[in-house]
Amino acid sequence: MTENNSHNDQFDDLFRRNEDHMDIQYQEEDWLKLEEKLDRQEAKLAYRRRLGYIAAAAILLISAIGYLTFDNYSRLNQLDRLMEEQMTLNDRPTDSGRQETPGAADSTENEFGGDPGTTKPASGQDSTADQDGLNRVEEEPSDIEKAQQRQTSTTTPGIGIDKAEFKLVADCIECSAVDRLDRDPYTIDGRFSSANIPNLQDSKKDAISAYLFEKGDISGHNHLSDRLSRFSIGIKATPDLSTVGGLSNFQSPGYSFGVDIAYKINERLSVSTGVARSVVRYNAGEGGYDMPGYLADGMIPDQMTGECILLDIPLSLRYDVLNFSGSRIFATGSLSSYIMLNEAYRFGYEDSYGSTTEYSYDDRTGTSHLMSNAGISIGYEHDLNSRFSVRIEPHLKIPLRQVGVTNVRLFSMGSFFSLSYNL
Amino acid sequence: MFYAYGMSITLYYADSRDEAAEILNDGFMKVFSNIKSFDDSKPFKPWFRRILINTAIDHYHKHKKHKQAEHFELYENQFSSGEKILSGIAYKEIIAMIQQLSPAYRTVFNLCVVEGYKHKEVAKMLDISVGTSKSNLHKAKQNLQAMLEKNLT
Repeated sequence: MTENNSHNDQFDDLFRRNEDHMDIQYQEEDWLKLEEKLDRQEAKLAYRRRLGYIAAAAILLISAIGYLTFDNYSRLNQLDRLMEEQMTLNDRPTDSGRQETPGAADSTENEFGGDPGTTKPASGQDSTADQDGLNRVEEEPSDIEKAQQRQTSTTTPGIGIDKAEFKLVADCIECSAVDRLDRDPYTIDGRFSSANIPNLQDSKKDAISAYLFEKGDISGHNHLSDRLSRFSIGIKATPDLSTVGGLSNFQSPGYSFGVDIAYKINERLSVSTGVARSVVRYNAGEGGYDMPGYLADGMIPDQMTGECILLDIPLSLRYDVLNFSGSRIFATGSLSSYIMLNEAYRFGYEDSYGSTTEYSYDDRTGTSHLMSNAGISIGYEHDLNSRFSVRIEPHLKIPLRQVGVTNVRLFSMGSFFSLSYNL
Repeated sequence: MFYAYGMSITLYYADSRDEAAEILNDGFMKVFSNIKSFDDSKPFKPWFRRILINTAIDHYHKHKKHKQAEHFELYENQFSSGEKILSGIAYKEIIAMIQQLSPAYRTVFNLCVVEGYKHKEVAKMLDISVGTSKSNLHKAKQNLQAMLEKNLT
C-alpha cells in the first residue's frame, strides 16, 4: 500500500507544474490576437455608451412630450374655466331680464321654438328681452364676449337656439372642446354629428346639423386634423412565446418591450418602425438547429434550450379594417430584422445508457439577421383622447431565414400592449 | 514576464499551444477588466493564476466533449527519443501527454493533481458528480501511465 502511494506521489510529482523549468518563447501573434480582443472590447464599450446616450435621449424626449402634454391640458382646463366663468356672467343678466320683464320670457320662448326664419336673437332688434338683457351685457363686453357676439351675430340666424346652446356647439367645433366631450362631435369620416353633443334637444340637434350642413362646415374637424401630425410615437410590450421548427414545444415565456414611430399615409394606411428588446426562450430537438462545428467539436447535441436577448427592428404596414367612433380594428404585416445581443444555450447529449450530459454556451455574439422573420397581427385600438390611444395586438412571427449562432428557424407569438401619442 | 507564467498554466488545460494562448488572452482580458478588484497588499501571481484557472474552466465548459470514450490507441507516440528516464522527461513532453487527454480527463487531472483541489471542489467547479471526478481522474492517470510506458519502451 505504502509502495503504491509512493508510486502515485512520484507519478503526480512528475506532472506537477514547475514553471521554472518551462522555456516558453513569446510569440508576436499572441499579442496581435490580444490586441484584437482589446479593440473588440473597446468597440463594445463604445456601443454600450451609444446605447446609453440613446436611452437617455429617449427618456428625455418622452419626459418633454409628457410635460408638454400636461402643460397643454392645464392650459385647456384654464381656458375651460375662463369660458365657464364668462358664460355664467353672460347668462346672469339674461335671467334677471326674464324675471324683471314678463314679456321677455315669452319673447325668449318664442325665439327657441319659433320660426327660425323670423327670429334673430343675436341682432336684438325685435326683442325686448334682448334690449333689456343682452344689450345690457354688451355695454362692457370682454374680449371673449366680443368674439362670442361676433360669432353669434354672424352664425345663429336660422338655427333658433340660444347663446348657451350655440356656445356648446361652438365648443364642439373647436378642437380644444373635443377633448372635453365624451364623444367626438365629428364622425369618423369628418362629418359633424350633433347626436354626440350632450344636453341638447333633438329638434335643436337637427337644426344644428342642418345649419352646419348648409354651411358645409367641417372646418373645425379639418382644423384639428391639420394640427395633428401624421407621425405618432409609442411604447409597446408583449409576452413572448417562441419555439423552433413549428408552433409547438414552447418554453417558458420571454418578453419584449420597445418603442415605435408610425407615419399615417392616409385615413386607413400607415407604416411604422421601431426597436424592441426581446428575451426569447425556446426548446429545440435534433434537427431544429444547424450548429457550426466549432461550437460542439462536430458533435450534434440531441436537444437544446436557448435563451437569447435580441433587438427586434420591425418594418410594418398597417391597414385600418374597421373604423368606429373613437376606436378601430386593424391588421398589420411586418418584416423583422434581428440583432442578437446575447445567446445562451444548454446542449444535451444522450449516451447509450439513456442518461443526458449537458453543457452550456453563452456569448455576446452580436450577429445581425436582416428581414429574418415576417409578422402578421390583428389589433384593436381605442382613442383615449385626440392624441393618446392604446392598442392590443395579438401577433405571430414566422421565420424567413435562420437566426443565431445555432441557425434556428424561430417562431414567435404574443400580444402587444401599446400606448401611442400622436405628435 | 506574466506571459511565460500564464502560458505555463494554460498549456496544461489546452489541446494545443494556440488554444493555450487563447485562454491566456481571455485571462488577460479578465485581468484588465477586474484590475480594480485586485488587492495591492497581496501578491499578484496567485490572483492571476486563479483567474487563468477559472478562464480555463469556462473554456472547458464552452468546448468540452461529452463522449467520454478514450481513444488512447489512436495516439501516436510523438515524443523525442532523447530522455528515457522518468525523472528526465522534458516538460514539453509532459505537456504533450497531458494535452492528448480528453478535455474532461485533462481538466479533472489538472485540478486534482496539479492544483491540489479535492474531488468535491472539482465536482462543483465542473458541474459534475464527485464519482465522475474520481472516475475521470483514475482514467486520466491510466492513460498517462500507458503513454509513459509507451514512451519509455
